Parts: sequence; structure tokens; C-alpha cells
Amino acid sequence: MRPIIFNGKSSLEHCRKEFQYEHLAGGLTCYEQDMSRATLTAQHASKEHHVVINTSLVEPFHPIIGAQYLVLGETDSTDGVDMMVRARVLNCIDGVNIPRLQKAITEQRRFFKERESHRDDAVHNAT
Amino acid sequence: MDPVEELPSMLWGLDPIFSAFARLHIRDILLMPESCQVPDIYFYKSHPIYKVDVLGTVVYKQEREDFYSYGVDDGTGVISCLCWKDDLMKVQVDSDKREKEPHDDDQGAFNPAAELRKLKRTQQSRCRLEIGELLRVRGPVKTYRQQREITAYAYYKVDDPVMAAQIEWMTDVLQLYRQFYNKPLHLESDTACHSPVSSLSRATNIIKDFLQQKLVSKFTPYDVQDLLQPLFLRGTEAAPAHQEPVAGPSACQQLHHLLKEALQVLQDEGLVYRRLKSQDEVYFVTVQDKDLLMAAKDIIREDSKREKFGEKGCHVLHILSAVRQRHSLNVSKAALELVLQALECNSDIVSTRHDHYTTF
Repeated sequence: MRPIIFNGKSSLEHCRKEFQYEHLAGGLTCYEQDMSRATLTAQHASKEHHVVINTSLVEPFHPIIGAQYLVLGETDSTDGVDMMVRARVLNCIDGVNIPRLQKAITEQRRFFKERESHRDDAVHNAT
Repeated sequence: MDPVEELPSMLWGLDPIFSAFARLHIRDILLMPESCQVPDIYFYKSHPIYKVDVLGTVVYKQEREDFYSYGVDDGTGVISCLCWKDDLMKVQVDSDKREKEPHDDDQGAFNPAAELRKLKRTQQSRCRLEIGELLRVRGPVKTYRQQREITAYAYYKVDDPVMAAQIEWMTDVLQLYRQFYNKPLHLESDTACHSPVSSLSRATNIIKDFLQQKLVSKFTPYDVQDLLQPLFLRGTEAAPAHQEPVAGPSACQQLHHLLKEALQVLQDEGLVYRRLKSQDEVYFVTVQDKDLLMAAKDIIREDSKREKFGEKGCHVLHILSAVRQRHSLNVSKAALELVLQALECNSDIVSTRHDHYTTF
């Protein structure tokens, strides 16, 4: 299965500054129901990335280990784990046209980035 | 929003986005500033917005007796949507307990009661959503207890197993932003517009209004030239003293020229005509000219008695040639059409088919 992770793990750290919400995708490797934690894994440029997801808002969650999931949520840092994503939406995307989805998400990201840069320019020009 | 920057409320209707359900990102809906002029109208980059269209996942749900409140997340933000319950759904809770599924007596026959139950069930399945399902909502944005929310005019569940609808929505919304929402509103300013086309149209409108109001039946250019004076006065006021006098047609000559053009336009439209092309230009107002109306009526009445025109009626070109012979050579087709319209409104003649007229 073609791996997809829309932002590398390093950019998750920038997440809090850039956008409140993030789209992330990966294969579900583990789910701990009692702790409401799921781990998504994806391979990007021959490196494996793991993201920990807080699933408390989307319970009851029926996991399909190995399936691809799309997470929509806010980045959070809580007890012990440096970066966690608090999922508001957790969808199984097996069967979805992944390239098209990826294209749409990249377009949206680019749009917001352009807007932020225009805003920064306007602020610079004003001062 | 700064009251100076805001578009005056009189002009909001000119923005096509104002009348449409704007497909904005929820993030923008939450951040757009409210208008100082009218409550519950918001501005996105100089466009006035009051109703929106969103597609997103339900992330929280609250049910009350009369409505559902769904939190909708489209990937950029979350907004709560107030979805009023239909009467059907309120009743269903009780009827569910009382009714049992009766057997269809006839397998093939159309059973209205069963079909109605199926319809109710389908409607409810579209309106009753659980967390994680995709919801489409259209409605006005309101601020209630300092929170923005959408009151749904229409809402329904979207079945989207392979995310095709969401992907399409995302790309469409970006297109809309780039092509419409992010572009500032351009309004043509009415004042200080010296283009020849608009001053001609204004001149013709002034003369038309005058002829209509005063029920003028005939006039000369001299009678109406004073009406056009204000157009020129406005022009000279707009160009203040710093403009040097330029060699060219004087105001008087310009006025004559404009008057001539305006009268030509009115003739072409058929509103006025010159019965006789003589030295003194006398214009007759077509629909007020009793002689012309009478002549046309007589022609149609006489010719309708003939067998040739008995059933079908007289064609407008036939009437035109007869009027030209009998009344005046200068009656144009447009003028005659206005005459025939006036006669038809008075019920003096009736049209049998397109371009054919007869009398009773």
C-alpha cells in the first residue's frame, strides 16, 4: 500500500503555530482502548513515522488493525507523550482515491499558507 | 468591521454573493467580522454574507425536543448547526412504540400506508445523524450567546463511503475562493460619468418620462430641449474652474446634438414619429395619436370582413402598408407594433396568432 503522511513528523511540531487542525493519515498499528490511544504508522522516504492519536472524542471506535485511517484533529501535548493528536474525526480510508485526497489536502494547505503569507506581508507593510 | 470600510447596506444586494449560500471554510465563518449596520450580517473581504453552505463531519450532537444541535467539522473549524425537527420526526417517537409492522396483504399492490411509513423512515434516517457521519447544512449564520451558529434551512446526511463528496467539496470551495470570494467587489459608480452612451440613454429616459407624465400627443424639439439642460449643468459642475476652456462644440451645440440623437432613438423605438417630413419638425407620440389609432382600427375592421383575412387575421405587415397608404408614410414597424399593443390592451382588436390581428 502506498504510504502517505501529509506532513512529516517534524512538521507536527510546527503544527501548533501553523494550523489548529491537521489532516494526517497512516496505517493503524495499535489501539489501546483503556487509554484511548491509537498509533498510526506511515513510511515516508524510507523512514517510518509514528503518530499517537487520542481517541477520547471519537469513542466508541472500532479499530481495524492494518487499515488506513485519516485523522482530523488538534495537536496536543499531554502526559509523557510529546506530541499527540486529539482526533475529532477518525475515518477509515480504505477504498478512497488516495492521490486525489492528497492533492485536495495539499491544495488546501497551500491556500492557507498563501493567505498567511499575504497577511504577514500586509502587517509588514503597515508597520 | 470599521464602519468607514463597510459597504453601505443599500448596495449589499448588488453583490451576487450576498444572495447565494456562500461556501466558506468554517474557519472563515467563525472569524468573519459582524457588520456595524445590521446585526447578523457578516463581511468576508468586503463581501456581505448572511447565509452559508457547509459540508462536514458531525463531531458532537445534542438532541432536544424541537431540534438537533450538531457540531460540524469540515477540516478547518467546528461550528454548531441548529437543525429544527420536522413534525414527522416529533410524532415518530410515539408512533414507533404503538405501531407494529403490519403485513402487506397483497405483495404486488401499492399500499399507501406502508409507503408513507417507508418515506417517513427514509426522511428520518437522513435527518437523524450520529457522530462521525457527514452532514450538509445550508442556512443563515447567527450569533447566539456569543457563539456563531448556523440555523439550518435545509440539512441532510450525505452518504460518502469513499470520500468522493468531501474531496470534491474541498476542491470546489478553493476554486470559489480564488475566483469569487477573494476578489473585491467592483461597483460601477453612477456619478460623474461622461461617457456618451450613458448620457444618451439618460436623455432618452428624461424625454420618455416627460411624454408619459404629461400625456403629450405632439411636440417640437424646441419644447423638450429645456428638459436636457440639467444633464449639461451637472457636467459643468463636475468640471471645476481649473479646467481650461477648450476649443470645441459649445454647450448649446452639444445640447442640440444630444437632443437630435435622443429623438432619433425614440423614433427607432417607435415611441414617436413624424407624420409629415416638413420644415418644422413636429413629432407625434405614437400611442397618444388618436388619428393613427383610429386608422389602424378601421383598417383591421374592414379587412377582417374580407374572406382572405377572416380566419387568420391581418398580418402586421399588411396593416403597416395600409396605414402608410392611408395615414402617413413615415410610420415605422416599431411604431405600428406599439399602436397594435395599445389597441389590444383596450380590447379593440385581438391577436389570432403571432403577428396577426383581427377585430370582433
